[in-house]
Amino acid sequence: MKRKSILFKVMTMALILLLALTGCNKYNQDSATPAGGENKDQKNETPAEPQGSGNPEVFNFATNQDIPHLDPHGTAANTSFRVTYMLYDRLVTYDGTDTEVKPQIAEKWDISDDGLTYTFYLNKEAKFHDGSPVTAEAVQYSFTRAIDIGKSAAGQFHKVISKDSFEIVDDYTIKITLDQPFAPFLKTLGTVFANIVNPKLADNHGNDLGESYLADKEMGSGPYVLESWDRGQKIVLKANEDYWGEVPKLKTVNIMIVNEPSTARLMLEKGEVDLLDYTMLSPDVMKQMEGTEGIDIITQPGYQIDDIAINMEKKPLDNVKVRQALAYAVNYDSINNDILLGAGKRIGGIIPEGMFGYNPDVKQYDFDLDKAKALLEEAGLGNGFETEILISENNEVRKNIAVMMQSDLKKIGIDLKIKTLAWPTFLETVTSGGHQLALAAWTPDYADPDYNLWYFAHSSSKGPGFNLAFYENSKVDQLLEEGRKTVDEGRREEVYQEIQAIMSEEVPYIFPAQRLVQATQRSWVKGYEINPMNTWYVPFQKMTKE
Amino acid sequence: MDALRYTLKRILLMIPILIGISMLTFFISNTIPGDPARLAAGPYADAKVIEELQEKMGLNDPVYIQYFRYMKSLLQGDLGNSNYSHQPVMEDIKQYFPATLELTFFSMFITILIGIPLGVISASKKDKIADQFARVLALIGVAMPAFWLGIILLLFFYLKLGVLPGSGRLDTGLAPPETITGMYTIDAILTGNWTVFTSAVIHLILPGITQAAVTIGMITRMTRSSMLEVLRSDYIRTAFAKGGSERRVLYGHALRNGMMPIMTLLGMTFGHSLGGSVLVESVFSWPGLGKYAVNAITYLDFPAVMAVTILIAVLFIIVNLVIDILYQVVDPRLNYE
Repeated sequence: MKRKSILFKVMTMALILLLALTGCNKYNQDSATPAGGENKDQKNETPAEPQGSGNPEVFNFATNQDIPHLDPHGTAANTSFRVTYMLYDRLVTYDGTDTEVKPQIAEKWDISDDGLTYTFYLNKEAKFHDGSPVTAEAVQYSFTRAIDIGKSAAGQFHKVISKDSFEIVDDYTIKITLDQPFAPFLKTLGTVFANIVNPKLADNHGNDLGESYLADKEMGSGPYVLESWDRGQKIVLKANEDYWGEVPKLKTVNIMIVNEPSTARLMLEKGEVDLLDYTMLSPDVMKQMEGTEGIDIITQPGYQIDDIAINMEKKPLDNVKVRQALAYAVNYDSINNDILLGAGKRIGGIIPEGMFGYNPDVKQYDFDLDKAKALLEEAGLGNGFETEILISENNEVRKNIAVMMQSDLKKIGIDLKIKTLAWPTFLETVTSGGHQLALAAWTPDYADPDYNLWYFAHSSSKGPGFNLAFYENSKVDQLLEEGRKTVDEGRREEVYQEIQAIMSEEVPYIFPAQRLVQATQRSWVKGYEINPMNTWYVPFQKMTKE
Repeated sequence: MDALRYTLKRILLMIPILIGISMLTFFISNTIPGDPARLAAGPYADAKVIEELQEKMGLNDPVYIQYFRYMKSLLQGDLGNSNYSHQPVMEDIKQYFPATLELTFFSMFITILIGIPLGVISASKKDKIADQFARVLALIGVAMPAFWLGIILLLFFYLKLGVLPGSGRLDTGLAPPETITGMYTIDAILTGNWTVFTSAVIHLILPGITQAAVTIGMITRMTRSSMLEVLRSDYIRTAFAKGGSERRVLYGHALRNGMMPIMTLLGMTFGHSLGGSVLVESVFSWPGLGKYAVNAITYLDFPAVMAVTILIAVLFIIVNLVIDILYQVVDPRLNYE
């Protein structure tokens, strides 16, 4: 008898404990009131707001990419961009699916005929979150700080402006004079690097220009303010009720870190999360989710292009015939249909379809192993050779592309080894030229062909500048320099189309696909559009829930 | 030797161990290919900027000089700044470590609450149904991958039944309690915030069980074998013969005598869990030390890597020390030799 009672007691205790703890809460679609059984004890707290679908003013966004810090001039992380773009304003901005800039703090602007001087007239209504006006001084301060910090943001600007380029005409007028004409200058001002920071930050500069101070704070003028940040868990943004522009309808935005995509998927299906970061789910998972009630899969064209850089300083890849043979040996259709499951299309160069400067007539290599074999024989490599492709880890799609190439190349005698590296090692290896082939992807920060082509093709960009093919062609260099200085759009288009034509013959890169961007959201979310280049951008300030 | 001197001696012994660990970690980290300055500067920074950063971060000096510089500031209590978060590493640790600590306490609590009684029952009912049941349970616990178990628990308790939350430490709408210990449950009790307390406990259940599954299995088996040995002794037979109740004999006499190996194992698992469990943290989006450490390595954030390693080493040593001292509480015959 006694023996029974011990077992019985332990089991009952465990059961009671479990029931007691779980019984208190129902995590259903609208887990409206947390801890229903404990209402008596809530006297001195404001009751928690209903979350999820229950409340049209609260938005839950889930991402699995951690947010490093929130200094707009010091970060190059997309997950930080998404937040800082809401906290800060810029002279001009990008919105919706548009890749041209729109006025934001600058109501209007003049550009001198020589393309050197830009005069911006600021909106007098614009106020920082502490109530002080956004003035010409703030603009100058922000750019100066970005250049002084010297990280990604400076890399964008210092090509054409320096600390001396600014002239404050009056409180609300600022003149920026470029060192040389730079056609896409206005477009750079809409990027996250051009966020305008309250000059009062100067009081907290410390010895690092306020980088550590601003790491978890904000001093912006944007439609949202930073409410709280529990590192590794969530960032809470609150609508800026005094915003000088249109006040957002989503009053609370929770940016939640959900590390595991399968967990995030469950949360979306449950309705606890309204939208998932577009990078979270792989094409095959989204395919499975298609048709799930209450969930929409949004598909929009993107400017992301997958690219295989062929290191032209390595033998036998320095031979153009070998590179062409490789281009013929990639099964583009199968990549788009079987790996990307339709979320991609053919592209012949690094300028994506839909962007200014795209050359529709550029030579595209079709999958043709006979041609590839013939080219190899012409190059004297009829017996094939050994080579290696580098990919960075944790990317299912890239791994699948590499494996597909491996099996196709085998048929023409090329033995392709696949080497997977952690991101820092990958970056170090490819920028120092230690690779033969490297599979990566590229999305421009602003929609100008100068952006993509200068990085990919100018000889000065070799290695760390992201010319990972170590491509050098004096004609291309010269055209690139001309295109950058030219103001005439017609001439620029010609220049960039010509560069694409030259590159498609010389094949420093192979382009497996231009991607469509897909994201999963609850059907009640309205107003989410994916920008083809700023794919991280979620326009919380104009989205609603029904 | 008395207890105090013994403790002091053990603490002094920590120093060479820590120096060894710090050296190993520092030099191994530095052999990872990749340039921390390159990563800190971001993709568009040009060569000049990177060079300046390398200089600023002291990366151009020989590794041993970098090591001495690091140790010098470490002794002054400065763990350095994270290249990744731009915060002092100490701040990062203060944010991530309490989450791990809380989860570890909770899962150890479940382990002790279930594992030890299950082991005792198992031993006292050797080869009976209860024993077989416990054996199967233990094997399942040890054999199931934490990741898989976590997802299955989520599917069932979160998606299907909707009784337990899916991720994080608190409901989305709740603000964490004022930071005192950083452990939400404790802080909520201290500030008398019962809504937050309930939410925090509920969020602990699934990750706690997932993390405890393996340790419950191990502790059950260890308790069983240790108890079996003790139960064969004469004094147990005597205790039964004198008419002691089964509960009293099992838990009062036998378990106490069989406690040593169980405590050793508990200490080891506790220390191990403090390092954070990347898999459990991933599935339940638990912002713990494991994830933080992995992230730090990915971004070549050496100050963070060093700090985490040293922290875990110190904790491991302390836990072991506490266990050693507890041995004597359990068995006063032991000497501190």
